[in-house]
Amino acid sequence: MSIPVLISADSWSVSPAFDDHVSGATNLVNMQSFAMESKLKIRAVGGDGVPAGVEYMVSIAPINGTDAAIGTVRTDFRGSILEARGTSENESAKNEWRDHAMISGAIVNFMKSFAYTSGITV
Amino acid sequence: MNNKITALFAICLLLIFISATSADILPNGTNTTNRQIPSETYLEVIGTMSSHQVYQLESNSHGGHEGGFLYDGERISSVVYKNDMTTNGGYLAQSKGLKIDEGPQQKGAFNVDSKIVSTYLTDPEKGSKMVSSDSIEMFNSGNYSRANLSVRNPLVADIIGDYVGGFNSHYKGASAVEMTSGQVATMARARSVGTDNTIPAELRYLIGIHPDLSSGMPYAAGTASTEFAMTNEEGAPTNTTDLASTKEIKDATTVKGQIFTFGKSFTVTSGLSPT
Repeated sequence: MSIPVLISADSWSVSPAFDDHVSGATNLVNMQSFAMESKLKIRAVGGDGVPAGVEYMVSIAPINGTDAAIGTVRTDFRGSILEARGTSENESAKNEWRDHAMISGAIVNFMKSFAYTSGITV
Repeated sequence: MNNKITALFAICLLLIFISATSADILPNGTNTTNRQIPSETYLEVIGTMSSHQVYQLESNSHGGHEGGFLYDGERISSVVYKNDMTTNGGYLAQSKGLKIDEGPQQKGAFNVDSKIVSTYLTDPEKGSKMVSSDSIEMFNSGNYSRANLSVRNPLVADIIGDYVGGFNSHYKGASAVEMTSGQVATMARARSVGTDNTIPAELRYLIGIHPDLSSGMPYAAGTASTEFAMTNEEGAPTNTTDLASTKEIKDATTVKGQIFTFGKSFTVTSGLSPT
């Protein structure tokens, strides 16, 4: 069984420019019995001064009466951000990140979360 | 039973290195988006686990340098944080937090802040183990001459204000661990973007290894290595032919065997205090 959960958020704006790509994905492979909770929040449309934001959380736990969830969980979070300064032609800040995890076996507890928000001050 | 113990190393180390260097003047934030990216992981598993985490932040006080040249007053900084871990069986409990804030920081705050605590116990039938590596590196460079497009080199003729003429700095804190039982805690922090020119660059790294008392063993078993490094070169206000100052610190430690306590920390800060 495979349950893909995929999110992404892209933003473009002006003055000064920025270009962001963020994604998070979870895959469950050959899970036998488990309880899964996932949460996804995206704010992609807002007024001036309202920052874009993504929150993502996935949690795997055993169901009642069992000690562990059995199987394999993979998570993959990644993003890249380019920002400019004023009217500059080149980027002034560059962010890149990747977070990949895979666990397999008797999963007593697994929780992974990330948030992505702008601290923009217009 | 004693025959099974071929070597016994009782290692009790608590080493603290604090290094104050020079005047790294950090770029300020772009004031564009100032992204904040906190992430957390909690897990407890009997089985295998692998994880890979990497983050890189490059900041430039201007619009980006060209071919290694820096404009008048331009500062650049780069932080790279990496963490990898693999187990091939056994019991693993882990708590991991990575806070990223690319915006300008005050003194005492950081752009990259990682804390990881992992507890591991081998599967004796498999002889499984946990292997992990963790590193944070920062590069800072600046040109405080009036010369436009000077090479990234601290040999400059003039200064502005009370700052040094130019600087190149590299800081690194890293560890590698391979163990069959025990608890490992690491902390890696770096500040590479400042709110203004008075905010010093800073990198902190800490590792601690302890026995997992719930396993019944009074020691952690395995190998741990650390690497701390700092290099810095600066140009004086008026000297155009020689470096005014160079500094270099290197520290490497490896412990192997039955580890009762192992602790090591490293702090490097630019100590900037403009008049």
